[in-house]
Order: sequence, then structure tokens, then C-alpha cells
Amino acid sequence: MSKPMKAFDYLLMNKSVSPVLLEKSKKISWNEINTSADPEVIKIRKKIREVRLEIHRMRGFVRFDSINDKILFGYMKPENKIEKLVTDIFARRFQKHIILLGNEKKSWISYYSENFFKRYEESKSLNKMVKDIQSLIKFDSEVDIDKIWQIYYESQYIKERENHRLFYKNMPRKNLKSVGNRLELRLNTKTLDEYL
Amino acid sequence: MASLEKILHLVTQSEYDCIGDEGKVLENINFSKIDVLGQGTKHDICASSSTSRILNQAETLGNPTRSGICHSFAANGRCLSMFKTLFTNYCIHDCKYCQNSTDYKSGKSVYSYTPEELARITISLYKGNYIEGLFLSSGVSPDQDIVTEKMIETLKILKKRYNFGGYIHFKVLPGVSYEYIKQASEMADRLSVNIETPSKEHLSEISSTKNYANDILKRQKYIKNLELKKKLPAGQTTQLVVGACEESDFEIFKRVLKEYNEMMLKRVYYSAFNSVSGTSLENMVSQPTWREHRLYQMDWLYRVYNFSENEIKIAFDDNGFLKNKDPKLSIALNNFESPLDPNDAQYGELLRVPGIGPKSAYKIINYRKKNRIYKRDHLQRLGVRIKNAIPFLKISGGEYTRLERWIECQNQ
Ligand code: SF4
Repeated sequence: MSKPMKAFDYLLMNKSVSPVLLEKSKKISWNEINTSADPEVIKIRKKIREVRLEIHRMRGFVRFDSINDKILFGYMKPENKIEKLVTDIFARRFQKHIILLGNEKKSWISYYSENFFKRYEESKSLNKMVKDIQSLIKFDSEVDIDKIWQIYYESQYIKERENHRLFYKNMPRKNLKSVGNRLELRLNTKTLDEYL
Repeated sequence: MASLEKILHLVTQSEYDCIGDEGKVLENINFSKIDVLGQGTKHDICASSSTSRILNQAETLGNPTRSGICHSFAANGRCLSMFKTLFTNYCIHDCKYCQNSTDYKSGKSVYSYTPEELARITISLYKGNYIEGLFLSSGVSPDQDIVTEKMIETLKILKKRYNFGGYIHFKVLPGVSYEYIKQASEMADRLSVNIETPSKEHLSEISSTKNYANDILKRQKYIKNLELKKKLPAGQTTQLVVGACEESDFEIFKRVLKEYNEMMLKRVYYSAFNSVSGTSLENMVSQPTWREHRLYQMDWLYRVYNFSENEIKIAFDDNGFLKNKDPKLSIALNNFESPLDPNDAQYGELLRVPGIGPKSAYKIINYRKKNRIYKRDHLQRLGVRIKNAIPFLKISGGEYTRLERWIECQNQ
């Protein structure tokens, strides 16, 4: 799991990549990818960047609710095929917690502890999975952390510095939607019509 | 489903119990408190969560990252990666721009967290993946050590009870004792004391209660000495409020040099003065954010591009202010006698060309080991911002005269 990723691994996760580029990526080093001006290598660089950027954004923007103290779940529907990887990243971050990520169609589960690692993929929606788990175990109603976040988020607002263009550059709508983000999207949408 | 049942069983058997009944601490949380104490930090710019700390992840809840992660962005596009809060908004100081100051004319409610509450909110936000960690600051009580003791208790709860592995930025309050700073340094990734102004004369214009040498510089030295013994994973930083006491950018620059060279600071942050109604400076004009932006560019040239003090001085006007123009461009227009050939320029020379940064300079050097650069297109593919760079480069015979270069760059 902690093996360093190769260029090929990243390319494979890209939503659309040609077999030619995939083949070429097997033979080139990271140094070449980072420094070459060859048009094909530039394409590879761009595709890898797309994947990495989306992984980075999912790491930041996915939000978790909890079923109980040890089970965290959240919505995720990325453009690239990074769901397993992102679920694993969170499982490694929150060791000894079940990480469940999913959307309307599929769900991914990872669990990681010092000497144990498990990963599942289910063709069930996130909602269904949450319900299934709740039927199997005792669950607590946790604090409404989304509400706490909303109050904190609004407390950081400085009218004089408002800059929605920059906000959307850093937090693009497509990424907000792919993690089901309701709050930042709502608070930074100028009109209700636009939001709806 | 069998496999899912197995894993659930495993987890419920696990002895790792992070929160337990502690959830109850937040049942009656006062939302106004979160709002007011959050607002007290909104002008603190530092949002970095990158640290060199390495953890055994199996033993902690979460982990820090080398490059940091932004979990959200404010409406101004600024990264929100931390739960940034005051411990209390009660303060004995009279900083003229601050809503916690004793000079503040509108009525205010005073709030404080308990260490348990604050630790629990931090953990909940962290497990919800809203934040990378905690940025803890505070107003100053009559005995600054007492509030610091409570802030440290918060860190202890985070570390000992919750095994918190996330990032911690701890604000050292003016005048706090060495012993407390030492304790904080053992748990935090980053420590900072805000110097606010470039000199003691400037500070006396905005506060009659704070002492520049004793309350601020001496605490910075304490942190520096602690760092010399044991490295702080994310170093020491500070922040200046820009334009609250009519200081020039050059005065700021001179202080910043001292901060980097004498205090060994990792970063200096700049926050453009924003007038807050009810404060003594409510009628003073707020500073444009471009001023802050140009100071960051100047800082970047010094810290990352290794420009010398004398080179940077060129960017200031006769009154010691930076223009609303990229300082790198102003310096280049002044310094470039003749254009540079990207095929044989040194790394440091390439860095002085507008539109070429450390990454593209590195790519150019790598590329020309096997190839020659003779077209703009080559540079573009190496990440150079052509429009900015071309007036300063000699490429396929074409080169600008000094006058042409000056005209071409007028609108940049
Ligand atoms: S020390 Fe000054 S800036 Fe800090 S909270 Fe007190 S009054 Fe505000």
C-alpha cells in the first residue's frame, strides 16, 4: 500500500487516457516527466497532474459524518478513477476507523491498522450502505459538527476582501459537487437562483 | 455482506476508544462563542499546515502532512485549513485596531472556552475532515501565564486523551514566561508571536500597554533559543499589520530582514489594516489588499529567489513604498543591461527574469543538457510565462533594447 506510485499508476486512474500514452509512461522516469518539453511527455504530465490535483482536492474537501466513534462515512464522486486510493488515504490517516466513501451507485470501504488492512468495494449506494451498517451495530447520534463548521466558517468572513473568482478557482464547483459539499457552495453563491 | 460484518466486528472489538462519552461536552455548546472567538482570529493570515513532523500513525489519530492541505477556502479565496480561534476574547491591552482591546467602544460579550470544549471541537472537526489542525490564539488576561496555562491544557488533552496527530499552531501571548513557551514548544508544530509593527516607535502609536522589546522581541528570542536545542517542526513565524501606523514598506522590509536573519523565522505574514467599527481606528482608511500582495512578492524574492537586500531596495520608491507592480519586474527593468540567452544563463540569472520561477528555471537547465532553446514555444513548454519573460531574453536572434523592454512592460 505504501509502495511509491509510478507515472503509469496515476495515468491508469485518469478518466481518459490513450493506450499510446499509457505504454510510453512505462518507460520514462519521473525526472523526464517533470522536465521534458516533448509534446507526448507534456500530455502525460498534464494527465498525471489532473489525477493528482483531484486526489489532493478530495483529501481536502471530502467531509465525514460518523455512524459511531469508529465509523466515518462521506460522499465522493470524483471524475477520475481515484475512489479506492482516496478511501485508502483516509483509512491510513484515521487508523482503526472504518472509512466508508460512496455515492448514488457505489461505495468503497477501507480499514487500516498496524498489522491489518482490508478494502471492499460494493455496488450499493452510500445511503444503502449506511443503513445496512446501522442495522448491524449500535449507533450514536453525534454532535452536529456541520453546524459548528458553518458558524466557524462564517466567522472568518471579511467583507472587504470578498473575492468569489478566487474562491471558485481554489474550490471549483465541480469539486464541491463531487464531494456533495453543501455549505461553502451555498454561502458563496451570489443568488439563490444560481444556487438552485 | 459477510465481509462487512467481519470488519464491523473487528472494529467494535478494537480497544482504541478515542472519544467515548466526551461527545456530551458539546451537547450544550454556545454557538455565539464559536462565532465571536473565531472572528477574533480572522485577520491572522497564516493558514499553513505543512510540517516536517513524522509520526507513528498507528499510535495517533490522524497525521500531519509535509505539504499541508487546504480543507476549505473563505469567500476571499484564502485557504482555511485550521480551526483558528481565540481561547478568550478578554484582553487587557489597548491595541487601537482590535475589537478585543480595552479601547473598544461598542459593547462586547466576553467568551472563553474550557480546555475540554476546545479540544473536543477540534477533534470533531478533524474527524469530519474539515481541518488539518488547531490554530490557538487568545486575548491576554491580567496574568498572561494563566490563560496560557489553559491553552496548554487544551493541547495536553488533545495529545494525551485523544492521541491527536494533527497540526498545531500556538500563539505565544505577549509577555508569557519562558517555562510556558517551552511546554508549548513540546507539543506544537509552530509557535508565533505577532510583532504587529516594524519598530517600538510604531507599536507605541497603536498600543500604550505593549512593550516591543520585552513583550515581543524577548519572547521571539526565547522561541529561537528553544529551536536551537530542538527543532520546531514548522518553525517560528510572525505577522505584521500593514498600514495601521503609517509605516512605510521599506521600514517593514528592514524589520523583516532582522526577523529572518536574527530571529531565524520561517515566515513573516502581512495583514493589510482593516478598520473595524467601534475601535479607535474605525475612521482610518483600510489598506488596499494589493499592498499586502506586493509585500508578499518582496518577501518571496528574498526568501525563495535569494535576491539580495540591495537588489530588493530598487523596488521601493523615494518614500519607501512599493508600487502596485510586481517588484521582480521593477528590479529587472532597472538591472537588465542586455537580454539573457536561456541556453547559457546560470540558474540564479534565469530566476531574475520575470516569468521564470524556480521550477521553470530548473526545467530549462535540464532541458538544455540535450537540446538547444531557439523558439519561444520551447520555453512555453517548460512552463515559462512568455509574455513576461521575452523582453528580457535573447532568443533566435531577436532581442529588445532597454527602451523597447520598458515600453513593452508598462502594462504588466
Ligand atoms: S493583545 Fe492587542 S491585538 Fe491581541 S487581542 Fe489584545 S488588544 Fe487585540
